[in-house]
Amino acid sequence: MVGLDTATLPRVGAGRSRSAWFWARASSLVKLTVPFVFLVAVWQMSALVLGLSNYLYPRPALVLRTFGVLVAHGVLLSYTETSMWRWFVGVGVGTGVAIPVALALSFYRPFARMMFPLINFFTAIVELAWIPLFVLWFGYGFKVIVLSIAYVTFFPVLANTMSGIGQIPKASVQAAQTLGANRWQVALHVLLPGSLPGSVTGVRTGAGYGFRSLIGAEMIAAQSGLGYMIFESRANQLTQRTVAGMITIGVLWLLVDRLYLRPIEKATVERWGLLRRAR
Amino acid sequence: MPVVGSVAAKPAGGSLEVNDVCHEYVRAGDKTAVIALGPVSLQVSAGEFLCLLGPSGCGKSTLLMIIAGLLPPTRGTVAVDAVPVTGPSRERGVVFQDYALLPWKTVRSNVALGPRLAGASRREANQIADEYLELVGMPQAGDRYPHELSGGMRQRAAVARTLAAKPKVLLMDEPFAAVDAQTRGVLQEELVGIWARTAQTVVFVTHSVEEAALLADRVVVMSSAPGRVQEEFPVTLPHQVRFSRESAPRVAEVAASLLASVRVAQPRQSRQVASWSG
Ligand SMILES: Nc1ncnc2c1ncn2[C@@H]1O[C@H](COP(=O)(O)OP(=O)(O)OP(=O)(O)O)[C@@H](O)[C@H]1O
Ligand SMILES: [Mg+2]
Repeated sequence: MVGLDTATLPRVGAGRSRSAWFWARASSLVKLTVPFVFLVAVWQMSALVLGLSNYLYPRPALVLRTFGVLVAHGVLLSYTETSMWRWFVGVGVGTGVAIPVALALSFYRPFARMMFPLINFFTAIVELAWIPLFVLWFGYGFKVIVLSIAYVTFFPVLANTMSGIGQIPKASVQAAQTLGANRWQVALHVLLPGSLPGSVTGVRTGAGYGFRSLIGAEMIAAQSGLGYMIFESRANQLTQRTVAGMITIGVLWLLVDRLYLRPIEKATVERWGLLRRAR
Repeated sequence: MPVVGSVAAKPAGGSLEVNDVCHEYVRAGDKTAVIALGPVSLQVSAGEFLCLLGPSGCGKSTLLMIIAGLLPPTRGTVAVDAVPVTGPSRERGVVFQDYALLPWKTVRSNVALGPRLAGASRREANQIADEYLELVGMPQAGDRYPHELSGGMRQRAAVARTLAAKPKVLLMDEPFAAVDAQTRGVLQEELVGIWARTAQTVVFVTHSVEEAALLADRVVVMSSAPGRVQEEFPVTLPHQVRFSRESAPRVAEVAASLLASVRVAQPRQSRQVASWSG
């Protein structure tokens, strides 16, 4: 680990702000890496102590080699692409349905209150329970997986958007109304932007649920993708591929969350927090 | 004075009729009713500039919200040009006491919202917005966000936004309270200028007797909570001369008689001369 060594060096030299940026990056990389190095060490040690076969308890070295094979055959990349595309579309569909529903419900408050038990009811039904029905209706493949991801994304986006709408100052709505806004214009100019921090938080949560749902649905209802690989490899006695798939999922989520979801949420929530203070 | 092309003469504003309006707020917790206003009856003729004066908490903002159609009165009716008010409309523009700018829009987009909603293109609307921002003395602030402005600038932006929507009836809730004295003078004169050209009906809430004396055709002094009409003062001095140095003594005279009335309106236990120094 180069990062480990260099991070401990004294911070001197020209271009102070640039080097400060570099050190900040390096140290956050180290902080991110250390627990994983620890994890691999525990894994290796436990494998030695337990002395199980590679079929029951694949060793790190074997899994690493398996990664090599999967990459070389192009399977890993193509499955990753397939899975991520399904996930992306599913989260998009779930969000795209949830936000208009949240706006519509906020127009008809009494109706919305009537709907809450129903929403709760459906939230409780895990998407995996729907898959037999979905398969019956749509057959195996893309549609079923996207649908189950959209299903789990829908609820947190709906709930958070509605709570975001609830936090919009009444005066903002009133101002738009006295400027001539009708119901839909109020939604467009006030409710939608005003509830954005809530929606973004909801999308981040929903994207997490969707990511798990993706793997689950692919195990049951797909012939490709990471979930399929994880499930099929075990059946074919290639446990190391299952583990490689699991690691891929974890790493993908870390990347997506760190590179996209968290920065977006932070940016909106921070900006809106600043804006909220002053009308 | 900036010349604003789009602030052209318009047909006369609406006449306003407030009939026996009362309002009770029901507190959310214990469901007790707070009588906040009335009964109040007012007739404002088309194109009239009416000032509302009254002690804090007497229900001025409540009355304005009711006229705007944003708050249904507990009792009584409001009508504009004999048409009952049932909800908010672009006919009745409001400058809110706490500005109510949309924090996620730039100042320009805030001011452009009225024209946009009335069907203007983005370019036209932005152009109108810039004209009104210039009018309130902040031509540079269009690209800034409300949270980047001082309180006084926010208030001026709110005034510009309401004016840009060109309502028939202008409802203004202490629109210059947070502005410094010098800017206030400029804005008061601008407002009278616009009003003279557009013949809008104005209901203007203020705490300042001087301001009421400078602006109003008629001043209505309200009693302490629950507010009722206590006294009315027509102000006959022509608007063109009120801002001149020579008229200052006449304006001061009007202000003094308003002050006397307002002192009576103050609840006995909290009568304070200082709060009326305007
Ligand atoms: N949402 C509310 N719930 C309960 N009571 C309220 C509410 N809003 C206002 N009130 C009460 O109604 C009365 C009138 O309030 P309002 O805001 O209209 O007064 P105001 O004349 O505008 O005062 P100020 O000059 O301080 O702005 C006050 O006694 C106030 O406490
Ligand atoms: Mg008030």
